[in-house]
Amino acid sequence: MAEAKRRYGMVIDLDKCTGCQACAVACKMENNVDLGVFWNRVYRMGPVGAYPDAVEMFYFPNQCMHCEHPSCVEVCPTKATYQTDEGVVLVDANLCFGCQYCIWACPYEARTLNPKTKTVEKCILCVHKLERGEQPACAYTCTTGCRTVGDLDDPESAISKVLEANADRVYRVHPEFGNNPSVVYLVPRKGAETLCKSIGH
Amino acid sequence: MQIHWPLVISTACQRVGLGMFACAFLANLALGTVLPLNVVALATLTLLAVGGIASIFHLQTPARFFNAFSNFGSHLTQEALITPFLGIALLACGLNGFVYDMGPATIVVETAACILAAAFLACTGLAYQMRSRPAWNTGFVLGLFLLTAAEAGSIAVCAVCVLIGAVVPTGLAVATGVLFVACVVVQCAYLARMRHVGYGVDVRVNEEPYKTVFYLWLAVGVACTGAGLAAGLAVASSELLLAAAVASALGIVAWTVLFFKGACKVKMFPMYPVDLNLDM
Amino acid sequence: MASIIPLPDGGKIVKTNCFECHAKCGVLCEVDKDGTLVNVKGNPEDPRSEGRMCGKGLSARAILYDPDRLRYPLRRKGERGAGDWEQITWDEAIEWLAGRVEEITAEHGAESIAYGQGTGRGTNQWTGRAGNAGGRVHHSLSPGNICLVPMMVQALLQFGMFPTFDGCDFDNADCIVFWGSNSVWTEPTYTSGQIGRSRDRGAKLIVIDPFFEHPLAAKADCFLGVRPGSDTYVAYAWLNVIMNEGLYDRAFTQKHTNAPMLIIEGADVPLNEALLREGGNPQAMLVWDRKTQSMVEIHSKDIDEDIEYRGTVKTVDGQEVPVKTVWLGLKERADQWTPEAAEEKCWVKADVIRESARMYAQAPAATINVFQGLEEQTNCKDTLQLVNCIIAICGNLEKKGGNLSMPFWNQMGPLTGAEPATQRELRVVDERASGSIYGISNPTCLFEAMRTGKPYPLKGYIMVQGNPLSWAENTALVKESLMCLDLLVCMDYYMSPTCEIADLVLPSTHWTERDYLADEVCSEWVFAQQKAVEPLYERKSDVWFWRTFGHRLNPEWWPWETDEELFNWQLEQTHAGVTWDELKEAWIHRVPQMPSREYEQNGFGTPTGRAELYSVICLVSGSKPFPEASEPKESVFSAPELAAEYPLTGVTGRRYPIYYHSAYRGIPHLREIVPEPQVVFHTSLAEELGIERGEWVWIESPTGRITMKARPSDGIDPRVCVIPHGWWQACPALDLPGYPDGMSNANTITSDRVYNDEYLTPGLRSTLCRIVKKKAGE
Repeated sequence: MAEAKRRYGMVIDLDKCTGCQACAVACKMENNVDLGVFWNRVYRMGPVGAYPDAVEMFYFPNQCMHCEHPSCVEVCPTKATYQTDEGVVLVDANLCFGCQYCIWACPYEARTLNPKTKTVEKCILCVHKLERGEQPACAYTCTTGCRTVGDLDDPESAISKVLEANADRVYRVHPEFGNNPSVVYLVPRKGAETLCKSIGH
Repeated sequence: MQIHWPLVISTACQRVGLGMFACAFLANLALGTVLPLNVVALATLTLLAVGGIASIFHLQTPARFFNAFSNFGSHLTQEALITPFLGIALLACGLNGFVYDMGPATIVVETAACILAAAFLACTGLAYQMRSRPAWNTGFVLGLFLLTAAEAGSIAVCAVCVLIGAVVPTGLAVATGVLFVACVVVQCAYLARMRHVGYGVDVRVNEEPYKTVFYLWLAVGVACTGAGLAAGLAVASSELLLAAAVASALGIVAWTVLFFKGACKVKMFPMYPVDLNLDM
Repeated sequence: MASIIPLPDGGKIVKTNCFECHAKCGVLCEVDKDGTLVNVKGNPEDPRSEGRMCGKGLSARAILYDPDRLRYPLRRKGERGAGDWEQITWDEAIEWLAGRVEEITAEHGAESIAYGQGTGRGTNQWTGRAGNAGGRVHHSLSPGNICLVPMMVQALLQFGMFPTFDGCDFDNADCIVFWGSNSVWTEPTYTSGQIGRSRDRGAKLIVIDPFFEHPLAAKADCFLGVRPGSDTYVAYAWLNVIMNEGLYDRAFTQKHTNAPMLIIEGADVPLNEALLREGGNPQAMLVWDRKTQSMVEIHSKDIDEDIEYRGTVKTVDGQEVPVKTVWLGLKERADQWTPEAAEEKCWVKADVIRESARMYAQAPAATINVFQGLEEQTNCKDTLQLVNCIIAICGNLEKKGGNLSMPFWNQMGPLTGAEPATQRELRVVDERASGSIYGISNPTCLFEAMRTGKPYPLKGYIMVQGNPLSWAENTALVKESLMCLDLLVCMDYYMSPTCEIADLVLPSTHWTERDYLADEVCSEWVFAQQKAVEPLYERKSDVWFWRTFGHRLNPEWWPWETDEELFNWQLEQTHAGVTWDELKEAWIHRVPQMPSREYEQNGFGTPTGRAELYSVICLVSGSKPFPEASEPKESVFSAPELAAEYPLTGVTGRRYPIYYHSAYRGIPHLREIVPEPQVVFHTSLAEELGIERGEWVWIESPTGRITMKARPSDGIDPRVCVIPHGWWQACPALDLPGYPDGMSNANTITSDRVYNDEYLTPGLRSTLCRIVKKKAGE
């Protein structure tokens, strides 16, 4: 029987993320990412609201969502951007000619044009580590343990268990676009009431 | 979005050039003009060449241009695939009567060129439609790409008409006028739509940072073009009509700049009144 | 060797510990066959960090190979601060330095040389040893008074151990409190993972901090946006609620704190046996035993202590004195601070204070983590004492899920050696603060001695890993003082602003380049921090410097011939039960725990054998035994004339998770995350002042003025602003500037006028200031 194909995904628990930037640095160091190019950034929403009782704030790590239906793959004229059969979206730097069409099309601001190499770069889900059975650098080092990477199609995987245990907090950014990101967030339990209300939690 | 000047130039050249050819072809076919399509084709080719060189500047590694033919689903690849055929068809039209005479085959080649021109414009227009930028997430984009081409093209055709000493047929004048008005109306509708595209990126063009370009478009693309067109048609002045054509082309440039500026990316969390923050 | 794992390609993995901060997380360093550091990542075998690692540690390659780092010993050639250096050898440097020290000692006495450090990188004890070896006075010109000493010593006085730093048992707590601390950014790897797990199983979170941008504030069940320095009122209000609502742990309070200890009404001194009968022991303190209806010595077993006893006793000389218990004495004070009364002073709503106090006290196990937010205030002794009382009466001491003793903190004494006999006499303090508990010199007084020669001249300052032009209050005056020295020596990673004006600058090895022990803040373990790569250029470790230089001056104090011999001795003193070679092999070793872990049998290491609410040692040292509800000495309430001109209360010292104090703004991939210093204040204040986000503004205080970018925020009280420290370094790779002459240095505006009496601490975190919009052209 053929081995079942994996579908890689990542869950990021925004209730845990403290915006420490360790993941952003780990990514830079692991992948030797150039200055001015960002594969992984941690943003902060807020603080916004009336101090001190109605202020909201949370941190938001942002990187490629490795969508099931990636907008970038759809529009790339050179097929430099492609998706592996395990769901990881990658860029072949030898084919890319820097038209930046993919950057326009990506709803998640995941991609940067590297002015040195003149090609587009983004998170690669550390496929080189996944192949060795290791977690991507960001998930490995996360100081709060808020990231888990694994096989979404395997109900016994760590990621599936986290998603199941927190099913009431699962959130994909802009699901109405139909990209179906494989990077899934868990909304904060507190401090993001506006977000939670707007998505019906 | 930042303004990609090479693309502003190239798409403006494409619309003016191909619009002009298509309108000239259709005018000859249905409105009783006898315009020199070979000359028009050569002018179109020139404009396309200028636009092509400009768009090469947009690529970071132009030497890899030939990779563009790989993804049939991508509108850019479609555009790239159409290009050589369009070029050949236009060249065939352009040389017809100078180097050889195609005789009865002319109409076939011209029709083909017109269809390819429309297809090229359609693919390019569609390339700018995308969900990630709410201002561009609409059929308006394709529609306006074609309409602006038609407006500029028809005005240019009127100018050519007067230039070669012919009278502008009523049908052509009316069609040009209608296209101009329709284009402006649809453009205004597009701008009105931009005011409530949601996702935290509503655009009010009468405010900064859009104000200047918006007024520029109104002045050049609407007022000057309209005035030049009306006056030029009234007194059959080739200078006025040429001025109107140039104003229309510059109006397309201003419009395209506004088009890029308004193309803000969806906010990740539009339900909040503030942006995501990188400041620590 | 189990701590070195060879790789098939000839490289190796070295198990060691990071030292970008003091957490010392376990690291796996990957080194290639040529000895080049290739990669670092966390070691999952570290029981604290479990393989996690922060952005600073991960940047090891960039810091190790940073071309801007010091490489060779440099001696000043031209004018001080002119930047004219000659490269010398280590032998020359040590000899020259020894010569200078001997000359200055001969002329002015050993007391004219101060030894110190900044953050230090694990060498607190050796700096102390160097100072003590001088034989006259160890000035300890270091930021100890603003970091670690207040909270550590106050805990040692009250508990005989230190449980409020790395002793917090986050993993088992039902309620976690961060009080003036941001450990998920500063010690993230042994806090954040544990806190996440606890919250997942329903643990409550309380954050007491002026800044809502504290990474846990929005997630907290209770956020107390406290006025900087007003934590005494919050703490007393907590005691008010806990004591009056009976939420304290009665058994623990009765049996294991000195709540039942009898004190004399009015004088507030302990009732002792000698007062009651002839020949009685003056050291014996007493409690009222309900079983025998008599007063018994506090160490007695099988008694039923009455924590609410009040009565009169007849003394040996026939007087009738009223006595009461410590509990009643504390409660009387707490009764004045209802949450409503506290609200006015601390700017936190009464119901939030009440709710948070109940949340903490009612949790089956709760832990409180404190740090510099409570320390860097002129009322730090009181706040820290109050927090310790809260922990004790709620029975969270030495309890799973509470605050546990950690061994290292008790072991410093033997390592530094005995202080000189003339320490108290020769240390330099003044009437502003006696330093009744922390017996070193006040840095500000030392700086004055450098300038004026009063009370006696201070001619030399030798330090490692320190940049007083960043950490010390009133930077401009500090610089002026250092310029008066005859001898200034700095050992550091980079040519900091202090190094620039030194006579001798020594190049320090990075943690990847040095062998050392990792024992401080290492919870229940000690680690071998072995080097991953050979030291580059001529860098040496700080430990090697102290030992070698110490040996040259005072071989009796520094007999060890090699660093390894020192490590063995160090491990012996700290009762680790392992040698350096064994530790290097294994990398990790669990050390014996404190006796108070079994407090039922062993009690606590204090005069009463109990956790002290009323501190006997504080009384004996000349401080107050009860905590006071004290106000910071320069605040909107205590200095209203000053506050009229400078109405904002500025908090300095906010953390960045990617920088460490004044270090690492030159590392490009870190600097691009936080490129510029920003002062944070409320959006309404920005509107009022007409200031836009990103505008450079002045921040002014009676001491001076600096400039930073404005960042309006909703997450702060409109009467408070947040001023980051540590900004001096440029980043040429990113074309980002440095900030010379303290122009954006928080300490340019902090006060050197008022100090905490016991610990000599300045009020860095409640600085009266104002924000001023720049005029055109400024």
